[in-house]
Amino acid sequence: MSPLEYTLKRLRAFLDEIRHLSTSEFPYRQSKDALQILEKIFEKYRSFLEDSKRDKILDEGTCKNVNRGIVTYLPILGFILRSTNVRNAFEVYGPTLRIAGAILEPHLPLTKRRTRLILSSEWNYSPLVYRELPTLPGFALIGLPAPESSNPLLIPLNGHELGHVVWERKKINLEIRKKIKEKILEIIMSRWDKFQKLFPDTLIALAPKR
Amino acid sequence: MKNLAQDLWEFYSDVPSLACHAAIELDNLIRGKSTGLNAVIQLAEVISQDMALSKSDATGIISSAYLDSATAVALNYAIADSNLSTTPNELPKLITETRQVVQCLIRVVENPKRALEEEPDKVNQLKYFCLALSKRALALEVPQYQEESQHPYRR
Repeated sequence: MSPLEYTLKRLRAFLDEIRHLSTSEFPYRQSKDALQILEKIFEKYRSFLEDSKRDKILDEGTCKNVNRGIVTYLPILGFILRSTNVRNAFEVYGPTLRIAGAILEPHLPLTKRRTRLILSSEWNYSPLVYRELPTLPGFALIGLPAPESSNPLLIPLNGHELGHVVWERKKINLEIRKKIKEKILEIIMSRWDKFQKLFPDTLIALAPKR
Repeated sequence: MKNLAQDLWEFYSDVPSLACHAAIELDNLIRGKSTGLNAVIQLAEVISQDMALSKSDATGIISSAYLDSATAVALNYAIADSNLSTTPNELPKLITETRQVVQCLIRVVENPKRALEEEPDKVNQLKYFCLALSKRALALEVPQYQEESQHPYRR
């Protein structure tokens, strides 16, 4: 089997699974939205790879991206499926979504916000959040441990997990990285003699002018 | 450019898959099969953001704090791989070359028909640039499965 045939076989199976999951009953629309987005992206790959007139030079790169995408998004399909599970606290979904929208898109009215949320019941000991997924922009995916579903303290934990999303989406890292670097250099400068004793071979160019 | 970037790609996407989709769209365009150029628009936007083009001056001087170094390295190779230019060996030159590539991508998006009529070779070259960028960015990526924590008894 050629890499192209292999990829197409996996891709068709992946798309079939998405279509099958789409027929599930979802408690809120955004899980289904995520499936539709994934279907659209992967359908585009399938349509290209099945087009006999395509430039074959693109095959290798496309197959690599398809396989990488399947590895990345297959667990997400499971996550989306588990968002239908009754262990989820469906009643906190609305308030959590409103909070997420208010933090991430504070200047937009409620009806225009694009932030989307999927809450799912997960089989990990700790709560988790998926980093900004490239193919699901604007989605916050929060997973809470299934065996703790009766614990009301999971609700404030949503806020903690949401903090990770805010950190990444607002690129806070980028804003403060320069400030942290400057502060570290300032501390080094203020203790230069001690620093030089500990690291005699480094950062000569930084030595304060005397 | 932001107003054009509609559809589902409007926030962000990663460089390898986005560049691959852009290459597919340009190939479709060349073959007269119109499937839109959303990925091309978005790629131009992501490159501009990652290379902080709006924050660099005319000579390409920029603070490294704003720069996505992985995208910069991938772009450096991709520009050379697709013969868009000789390999830029300094950051200011890379910024200048990148700005030109982004402008070419935007020109194609703004008027695909004219771009195909006037500069068919350039559109083809941009397609190979997108393919090269996808491959280079993918090669620079940390394998995802190594980062996942696995169950201690899972093999």
